[in-house]
Amino acid sequence: MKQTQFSTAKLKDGVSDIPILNAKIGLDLELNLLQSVVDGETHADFLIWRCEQSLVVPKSFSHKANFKLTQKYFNYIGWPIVLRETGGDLTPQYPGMLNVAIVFRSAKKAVSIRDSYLEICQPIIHALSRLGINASYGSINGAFCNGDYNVTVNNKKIAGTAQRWRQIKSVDSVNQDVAILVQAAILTEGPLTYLWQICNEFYQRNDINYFIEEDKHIALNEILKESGIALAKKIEPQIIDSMEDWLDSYKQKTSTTLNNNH
Amino acid sequence: MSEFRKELKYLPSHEWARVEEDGTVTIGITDHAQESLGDVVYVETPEVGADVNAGEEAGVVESVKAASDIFSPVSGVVIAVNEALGDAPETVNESPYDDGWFFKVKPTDLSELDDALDVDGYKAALEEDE
Repeated sequence: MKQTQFSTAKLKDGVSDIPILNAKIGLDLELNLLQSVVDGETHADFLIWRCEQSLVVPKSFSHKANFKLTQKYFNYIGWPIVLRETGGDLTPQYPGMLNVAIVFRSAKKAVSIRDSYLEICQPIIHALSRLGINASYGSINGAFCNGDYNVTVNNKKIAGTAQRWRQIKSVDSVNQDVAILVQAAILTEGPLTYLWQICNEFYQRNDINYFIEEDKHIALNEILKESGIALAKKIEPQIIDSMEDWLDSYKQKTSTTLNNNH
Repeated sequence: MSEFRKELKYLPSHEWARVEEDGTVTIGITDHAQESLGDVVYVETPEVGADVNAGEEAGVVESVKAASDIFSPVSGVVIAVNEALGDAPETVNESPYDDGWFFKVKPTDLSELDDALDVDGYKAALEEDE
């Protein structure tokens, strides 16, 4: 797939054209973008989208004993469960979540899982700083899809991250490149309480011993005291600018370090 | 400190291959790989009877940190997969070279493993990474 039309969302009347997509379609677009890196069509790109209401889980969840029954139930109540190909944990999706996905090619020996997470955490933290928000990254026990690389504000989670690595076939057995997809899901607007109730019901129905705590999260509307179009006008240009800056700097940084073996 | 096995062949993408006495090849991921990935939660292996090709994707390993391709070090037909990983994927972390194997292949050309790294070559590749 060539450069996706969403990779550089444009501003129209101060509001971006970031689309709200069905989860399967959005996740497929991300995988297509990753494949374009595997195929050598591009070295790096990004995608920003919002998602229709759904529960997105890693493939591992599909092997839980109660999964099929759970899937039917959540589909019935309007929360379809969609599988994703990155690791991590359950992520509730809804239009108030802003999804940012980056893909990039790297020499395998030049990148670690930690490095890849920082590739997405740092531009998001930078975008938030432009909004006057002091953000960091770290683990928040009790948060959704918890890991070491949540984006956090005041020790509360504002964005979750996950990643997928694809090996790029090489004739050089030592110097190998990889294609990496890193996703971030940013909480922009509530209501969050209902999200966590749905997630906790998912865990309960699948006999998973995890409980999401409401007070471990914060959404941008709570910090910026804006909502709807006004909130979107404020945050989307900053996120888009920050990701474009990331793309430019990544291309510059890697122009001399990739292995020419494809 | 990662464990290595002298009798194995390695791919730089961190899979290992062991040639068994009957000529079949057992495949898994290295101790270094499982340490990097963290807690493994799911392994997607090829189906028994499927053809795999050397250096091409043959499955996926998913951990709490990331999901990553598994490459096959040899071409051939899959003759067994480690069903036990379905219920206990953590075995990959606990025993990457023994109980945590992924799948077994009847190879079409064992000499493909000549291109894989021996233990010293793999150690050198890891040191270069660091």
